[in-house]
Amino acid sequence: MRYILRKTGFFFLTLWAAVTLNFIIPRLMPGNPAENLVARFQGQISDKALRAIEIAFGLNVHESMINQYFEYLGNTLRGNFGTSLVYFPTPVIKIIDQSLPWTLGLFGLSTIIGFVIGTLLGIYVAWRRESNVSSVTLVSALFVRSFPYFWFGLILLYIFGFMLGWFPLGGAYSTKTSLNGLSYVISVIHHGFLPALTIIISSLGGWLLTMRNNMISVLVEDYITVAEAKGLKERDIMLKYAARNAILPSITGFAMSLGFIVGGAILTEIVYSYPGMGYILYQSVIGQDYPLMQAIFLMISLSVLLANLVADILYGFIDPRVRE
Amino acid sequence: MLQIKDLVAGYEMRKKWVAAVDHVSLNVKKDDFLGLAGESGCGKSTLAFSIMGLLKKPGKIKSGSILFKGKDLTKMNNEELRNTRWKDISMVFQSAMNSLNPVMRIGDQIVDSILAHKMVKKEKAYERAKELLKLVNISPDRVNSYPHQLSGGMKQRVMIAMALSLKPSLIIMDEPTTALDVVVQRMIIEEIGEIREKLGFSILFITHDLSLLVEISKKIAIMYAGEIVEIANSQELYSNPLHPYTYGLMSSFPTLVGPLKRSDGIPGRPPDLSQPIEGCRFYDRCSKRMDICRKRHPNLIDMGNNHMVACWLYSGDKNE
Repeated sequence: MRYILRKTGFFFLTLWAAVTLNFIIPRLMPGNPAENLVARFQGQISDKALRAIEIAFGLNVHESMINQYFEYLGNTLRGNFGTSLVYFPTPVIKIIDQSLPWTLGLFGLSTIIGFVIGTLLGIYVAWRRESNVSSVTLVSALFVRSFPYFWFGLILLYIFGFMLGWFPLGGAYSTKTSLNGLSYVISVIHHGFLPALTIIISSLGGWLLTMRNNMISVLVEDYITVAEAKGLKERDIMLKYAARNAILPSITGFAMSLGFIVGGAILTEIVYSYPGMGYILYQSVIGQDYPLMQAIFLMISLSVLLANLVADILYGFIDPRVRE
Repeated sequence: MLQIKDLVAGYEMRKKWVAAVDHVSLNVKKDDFLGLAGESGCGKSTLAFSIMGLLKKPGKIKSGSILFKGKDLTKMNNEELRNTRWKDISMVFQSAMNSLNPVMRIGDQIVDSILAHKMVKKEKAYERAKELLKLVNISPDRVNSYPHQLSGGMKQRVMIAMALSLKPSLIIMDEPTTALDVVVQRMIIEEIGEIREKLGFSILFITHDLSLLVEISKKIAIMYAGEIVEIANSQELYSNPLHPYTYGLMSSFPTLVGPLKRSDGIPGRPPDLSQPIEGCRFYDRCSKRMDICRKRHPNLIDMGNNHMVACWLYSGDKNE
């Protein structure tokens, strides 16, 4: 319990630091978003209009830094990130609200599936490392792992989307007719299948190799021999004794990758024109949309920290040694 | 009860065969306390692992048999072997520190050995785990502790408790106290003796510490370079060691009383077991070697009084 409290305290401290950095860094850059907008209109804008834009964007450059900081903190807490420039005049929070579910659903699910399948295969490959099936699996994992994932995505899209036409070429759901209930769900799955497959296949190899290596170093431990001498069933030795210890290093890696889900897999989303966070992050960078960028970065920091907190707590349950 | 006959086991390297256990025959009777002594690398652990069927690649049993209550352990399939392990023969390992799974409570580790062999309720198994801990002088409320919360001596006690969990008729102890300090070592040895008297089971005690064996075991077998070179009752062996190797081991103990003598041990090293050796394996290091020792291999002969030795010094036909 004290362990969880300590970890939670640490989480809030780091979060505060991240939020503050997020405040400072953009202000170290020259100019401000309103001026950028003005520059885009090539000076054909009056001072009055500039003031109006500054107010609309919530840019209070004439106040002291301290005041700005507290106002920023208050706005952040309330989820008020200002207005997007690229999608003017939509509020940033609304854009995120539209993209986040897609990213969480697609990448969250496929990251988890990739981890689970990869880890299970890793356990199997290490346990039966003498068998042919293991060698074949291992070599194919190494092979698949070395593909650049966006390239793999393009190939899948070309073959199954373009040539065979089994899957749509982009988007998250069909825009053709008004969809309802079940047909909507089917459409979402139909659109999400290829990007999900890309992510699962390209992440699986890494998890497999990590787990296999951990397993092999755990399998020579004395407690494995003891478990065998105890006459335990093979499955119990494999899971309760070997895998339980071998999975510990993978958990941290998994938490990190969960944290980065929110950032979306930019390239995958672009390849599949998927309306997720990666896609809008790309748009915001192209369009120098600072409010949106800032909000997305804040989201990413928040989720990385949150994922680490979850990993720490999970770790505490799996490995009693870290609790003290 | 346990009859090892002509066992050959070792390690198969690419082209070499290292005979770590070479034509060893050994009997452990009911309620026996047999000590097996020898220096590091003489094959004593390979012998123990062969009995448990735990010899892993490149380790291999090449020939011979290990009969336990009439059944040959070397010919059992995996499931038969799994059923025999721990229920009939259990084992306490050398490394107390690493023998327990670090992420499981010790109670659960004792319980899973019980549940792997017996159809009992979980609560019953926990009751048994608590009893066992009490037996080895650990407070029963420690069932919920994790291994890292115990000292080295306590961990080895837990291992002993675990080895007792199914009331096996034979417990192999492979240097169970080597990793512990002398005081704890003494306490645990005494406890093992007491528990054995209470419950009655046989022990095959493997160690390099002959002085310890003389004190605790009924019978001692001396192993050298993969072979048994001498077997006798402890007292007999202590007062009348016959093999020059045993003799050398005995004289390397420091005496408790009297002036300290400088002990040189036995000079030289054990031979390379991957090469065939024609004569006696101790030849190079023996102070009493003769011509015949280099040419012909000595076999174990009975010197009476249950004392067997493999040395040409005691063989009548040395001129042959």
